[in-house]
Amino acid sequence: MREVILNSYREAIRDRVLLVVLAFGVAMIFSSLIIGPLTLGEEIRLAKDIGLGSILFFGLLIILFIGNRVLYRELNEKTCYLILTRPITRFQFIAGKAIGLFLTILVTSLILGIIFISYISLLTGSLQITAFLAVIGVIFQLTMLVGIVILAATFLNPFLGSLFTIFVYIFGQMIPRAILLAKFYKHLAIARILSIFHYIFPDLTYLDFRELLIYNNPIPLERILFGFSYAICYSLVMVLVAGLIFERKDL
Amino acid sequence: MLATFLFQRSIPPIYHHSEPLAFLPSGPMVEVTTAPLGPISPEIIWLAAIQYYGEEKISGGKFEFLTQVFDVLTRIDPLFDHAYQFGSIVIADEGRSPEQAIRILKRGLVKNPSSWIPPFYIGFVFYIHLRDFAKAGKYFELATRRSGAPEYVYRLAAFAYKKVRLRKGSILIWSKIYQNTDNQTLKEAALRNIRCLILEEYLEYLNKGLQRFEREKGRKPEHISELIPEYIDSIPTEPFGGAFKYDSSRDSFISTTYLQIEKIIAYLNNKLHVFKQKFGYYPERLDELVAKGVIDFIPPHPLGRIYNYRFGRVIR
Repeated sequence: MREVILNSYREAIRDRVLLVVLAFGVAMIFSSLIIGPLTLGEEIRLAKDIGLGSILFFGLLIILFIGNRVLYRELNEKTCYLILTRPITRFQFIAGKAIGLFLTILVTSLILGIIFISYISLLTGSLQITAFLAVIGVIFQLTMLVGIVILAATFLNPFLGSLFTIFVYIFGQMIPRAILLAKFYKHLAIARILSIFHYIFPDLTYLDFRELLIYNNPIPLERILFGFSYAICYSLVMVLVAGLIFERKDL
Repeated sequence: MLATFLFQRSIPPIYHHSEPLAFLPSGPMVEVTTAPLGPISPEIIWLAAIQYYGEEKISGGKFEFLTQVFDVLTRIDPLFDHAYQFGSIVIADEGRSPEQAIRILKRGLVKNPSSWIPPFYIGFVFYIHLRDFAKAGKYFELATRRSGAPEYVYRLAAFAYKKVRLRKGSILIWSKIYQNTDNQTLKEAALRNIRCLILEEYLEYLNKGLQRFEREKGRKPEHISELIPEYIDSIPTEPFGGAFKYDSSRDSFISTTYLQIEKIIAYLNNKLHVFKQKFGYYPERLDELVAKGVIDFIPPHPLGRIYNYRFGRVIR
């Protein structure tokens, strides 16, 4: 399994798409230097929001571009048959691919995260410790999306897999707010239906620490720990389901 | 790329309104629809709000979507104090909709419970625009109970309750806004309002001296200098760079800046009439006068304000 993880990681890290996406990510983090003066005194806030948004957005792009192809290439080029003849189960193969992709996301997000934290620390003149937590929150959000993309890759082609992942991401972001809105307008039936979807789609708001980064509003430790454990459990369940589907797949 | 550059350079700029904001979703639904954009969504709306404000200010527009854009912004980021501050000032002042500013701020009162900014600016709108001192005092007092409220908020609460002269309190509020903001547009608005208030203060001072002069001497002065030093100490400097002049037809002192405004307004109303005769309707916005070649440019407002253009007429 170690071999699968390393292979998957090496393959992803060598992909030229990754470099292009990283370059755009860095450019977007620094874009606040140009847009900043137009914000009427909100340069720091803009730098923080754009930087954090860039890590999430470009992480999502990497997942869509690379994550979906990780499994497809192995199946298409039939290289997985060679791997599966070794003493490795199909589930271990899927888990290895997921961990390899997760490592790629971790490395790229950390690169962008370190650039982002250094940049806003320079802008503010002090080390922005809150930004560390915000970046870790984004990495955990991306971890959940890694689980989703691996699941999609087991039964969809890369194009449909990307659509599926985008769809899950959008709904995952919208559903918690939509439930509150439905409750506010006393549409309890709609709220109940949305709550069912809430149990299926990943709720990325648990790992949104923007309030701490922008407004320095403290976030309870329980919420942070809950967010991290939720992301780990959700990703594990997704990889487990992906493994089960792959076990039954007719190769 | 060179061909594209040359081609695009040859395209003339298109005269346009800020209508894209009309497609901005409104109400609570916006919180749901902008969620997938993550932390970037408030920044996009903030930039759109600033751009819209700038465009309307330059083109003499009606600020139709000002309330909507700040409503959306404070819904997706209810803790954004600067949006409440800047939004309420421009909606009440240039958008001339103090009630709408209060509506947005009242939501901030609930959604941003630890900040003193929303109650302070509700008090500000009641004090300066609606002149309801009792309500202004109530909200200033509420702001004092929230953490971080500066000392001048306590003073303003006392001012409002004692119904201290509007002008004195207004100068205090604007000067504090001027001192405490990094927002250049807000600084300019505060400075403009302080100058206007000082100008009114000076006119009141001069006209009181004039009334005393006429009462005691039984005649009108021939020149302002006749009032010095018995009735006024000196001739104050006009804050907008104009001068104070005695107008015998009105029997009062007036500012040449005010006279200039009257002249410009008369000129614009005349051109609006020309526009109506030429095209059969009044323009939607003042900058249509320029776009359709009726005038070359809109003369800048001597006080740096926006012309109040409503229903085919510019009014003071």
